[in-house]
Amino acid sequence: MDKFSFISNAHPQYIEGLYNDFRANPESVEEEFRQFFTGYEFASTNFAEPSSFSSDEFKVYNLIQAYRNIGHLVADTNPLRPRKDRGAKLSIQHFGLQEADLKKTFQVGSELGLGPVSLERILEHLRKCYNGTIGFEFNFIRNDEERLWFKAKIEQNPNFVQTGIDKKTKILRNLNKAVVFEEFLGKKFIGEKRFSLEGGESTIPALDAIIHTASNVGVKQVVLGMAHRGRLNILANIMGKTYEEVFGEFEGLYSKETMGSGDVKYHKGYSSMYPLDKGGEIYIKLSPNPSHLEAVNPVVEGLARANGDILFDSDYSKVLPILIHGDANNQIGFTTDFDEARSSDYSSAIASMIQAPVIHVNGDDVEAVVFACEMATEYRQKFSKEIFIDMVCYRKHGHNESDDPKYTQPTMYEIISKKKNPRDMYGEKLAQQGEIEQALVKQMDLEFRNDLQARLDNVKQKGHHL
Amino acid sequence: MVKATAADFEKSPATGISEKDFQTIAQGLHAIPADFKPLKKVEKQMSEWKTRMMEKRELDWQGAELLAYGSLLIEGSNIRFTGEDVKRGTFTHRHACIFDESFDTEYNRLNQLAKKQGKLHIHNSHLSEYGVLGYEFGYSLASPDNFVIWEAQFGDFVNGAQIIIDQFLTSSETKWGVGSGMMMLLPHGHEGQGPEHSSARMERFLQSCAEYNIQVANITTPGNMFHAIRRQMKRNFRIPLVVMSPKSLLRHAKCVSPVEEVLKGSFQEIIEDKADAKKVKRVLFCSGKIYYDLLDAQEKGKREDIAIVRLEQIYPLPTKQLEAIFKKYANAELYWVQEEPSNMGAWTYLMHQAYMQWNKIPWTYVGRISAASPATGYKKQHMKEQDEIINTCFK
Repeated sequence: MDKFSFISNAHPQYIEGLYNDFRANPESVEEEFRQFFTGYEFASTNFAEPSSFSSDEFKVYNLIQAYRNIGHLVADTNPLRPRKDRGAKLSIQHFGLQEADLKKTFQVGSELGLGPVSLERILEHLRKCYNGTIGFEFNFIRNDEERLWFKAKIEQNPNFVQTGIDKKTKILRNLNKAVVFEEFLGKKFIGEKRFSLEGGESTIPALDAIIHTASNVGVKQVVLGMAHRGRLNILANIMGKTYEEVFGEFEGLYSKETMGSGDVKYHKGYSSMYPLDKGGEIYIKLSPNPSHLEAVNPVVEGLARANGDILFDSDYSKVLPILIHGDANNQIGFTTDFDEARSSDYSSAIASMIQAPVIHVNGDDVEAVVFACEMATEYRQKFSKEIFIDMVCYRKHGHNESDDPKYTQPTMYEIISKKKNPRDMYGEKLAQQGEIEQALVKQMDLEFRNDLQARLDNVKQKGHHL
Repeated sequence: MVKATAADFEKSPATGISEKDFQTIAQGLHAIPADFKPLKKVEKQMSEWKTRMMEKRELDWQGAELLAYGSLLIEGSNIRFTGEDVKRGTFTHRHACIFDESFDTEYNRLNQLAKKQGKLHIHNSHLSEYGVLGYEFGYSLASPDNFVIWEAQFGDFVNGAQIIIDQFLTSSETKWGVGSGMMMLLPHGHEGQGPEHSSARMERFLQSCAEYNIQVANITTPGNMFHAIRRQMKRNFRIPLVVMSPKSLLRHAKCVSPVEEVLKGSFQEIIEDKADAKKVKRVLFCSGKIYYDLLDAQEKGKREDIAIVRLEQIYPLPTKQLEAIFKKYANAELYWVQEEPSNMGAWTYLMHQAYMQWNKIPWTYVGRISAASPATGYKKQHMKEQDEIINTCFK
């Protein structure tokens, strides 16, 4: 159980009454409350300016707990439109506080590591922690150690941004590859199904972040399972399948060694050594998958388990399975709206069944996405448990590129048609911050586009036997 | 590993084990640690099993199965075995793991056979056939040296894993060049237990069979089961083996094999009758447990005019062996006998195979008529139907 549930569940006036009882006779209250009041008095006599007890402290404490519990419901995670109202009550009035209290100092600010500070300051901190572009859904987990780890990660420094120009440029470069690759395929192979990643381009820097973090915390092998959405992009930009191979498949060239009937290009697997920034490389494998979206998941988990048994003497921390639930995700299925598709708040609701935390993150804020991925990977290694990253993004086109999504979602697709891609958004942000020259994005775009064109020309001239 | 071809199925490889290995495994299987106290009835059962295997030198189903696993383990393979009740066996027939009556501690009978041996990873799993079969299929891809087995509680439940069967098990090699040597044990057979506990839907597997993608077997003797298990690990290719596994045959008095059968020889795709071919006027082709019902009628009626031929491996169909049998009984009438309704079991598959292979269907069908549900829910009706099948065959 949550350590403080006996307080947060209780009415402030009731607690105030108990406190008065405690002051008259400490033995007159239950053990839990006696300990709490003793601690409270200790803290206020030793660390704070002497103040008379105020039941408002409990109100603020309840407010803090509420942000930890349900702050994610109002976090700014949707890149397209305001969140649906999920009934999260987080106004100070709901906790019995008034505007006038905003300037008052509260001891319970220490709970957030701020020391005694104004309610205004506490609120500002809470909003930064829990209502930004990341929504942390973790406080339902029963293991104290996990909850404390989350709180520390979030509340000590709620700037979920990346630092260092090298890292930022790398993120931009990865976004550029993701964006240009899709645009290029779209222009060169008109009408061909590619199940583009567009709208979810942050997946490429996200996977790069997971793989790099994993390699720093003892992982020797990464096994991926995913459906068709964005798969060609991941095959080329993460898995190391050459652009020539992908173009060759669009051109209808296929391997002479193919033994059987083969499969469509966006179902195929691949494995390679992924180069690491610090030098060296790590083995990554993408399992082939059928059209049945989630069927590959247990297969990948079983394969990861077997590799742990065979290669690492049953040390399963050495193998990291990643499952990407790419299609029919947080906004839309083929044409099914999220509200028709589920009764739960989130597409990740199944996580609560296995006490797995969820990090909801706005796919347009790529630095936050990278933060979420790094944090999630550390969590998995530290606690040997699953964790979900719910990257809320969107599908730029219809189910495939020649399909019209406006038949069923006209207003959402009106919004999408006017949106800038995540690379342009990030490029502008970095330019505004003075981190890069404005021209860098254009230059990256052109260089990569020319590179792809040269490779395509080569495939068309020579034919490419895979 | 290579891709399987037609030639690979003309003759199964030799899969017998040495007398020395037999002794090692048989001893190891029946040794119980001094500080371990199983339930009385388990102790008694194990003592009977030991006498049967080591003194009578006879194998019942569990004996042959455990002996086969043991032989692979001492040869260095690892085995991963999961399913809904695999440790004990749904029908209390396996007892691969036994439990201390006072402390619940678990003793794995197969991990103590030799100083140096592979490991049996055996786990009871929850009732998700889809998830669990997917997981085991994934596990089986990692190495051809690991033998992976999944067992359904009753074969009917395999339909919960239909996506994994269609999208992975039967087609992953031709789509992606990814092969698995896993074995599925699916209890199958009409025993009056109703529509959900009778059929592993053999017909669905058979419909998916082509290009040597999987093997479908319906085995009638412990000795042949032993060889089928070992064959999975003794070839230079890996394809899944789907076994319509027995229920009543686990304890059938006649369903035993002499130990000598596993000390030599190989898997038999077809088991022939010992009858004098010259006297035979009718040949009953069948597969699985109905054989024992037919055998009983044959013996009781002293019917030398009727021979019974068992098709132990249904796919790949041993066509050359079948042709030899057709030739041998050139003047006899040929029946295909099955207990499943005619739209289920092997019949529709056999008609198709025969038509493609010989341009005619050599058998007359004897079995239940087509049905929407695999079996009746009434025991009496079941027995009446079963008797009708046998009576038609021996009319």
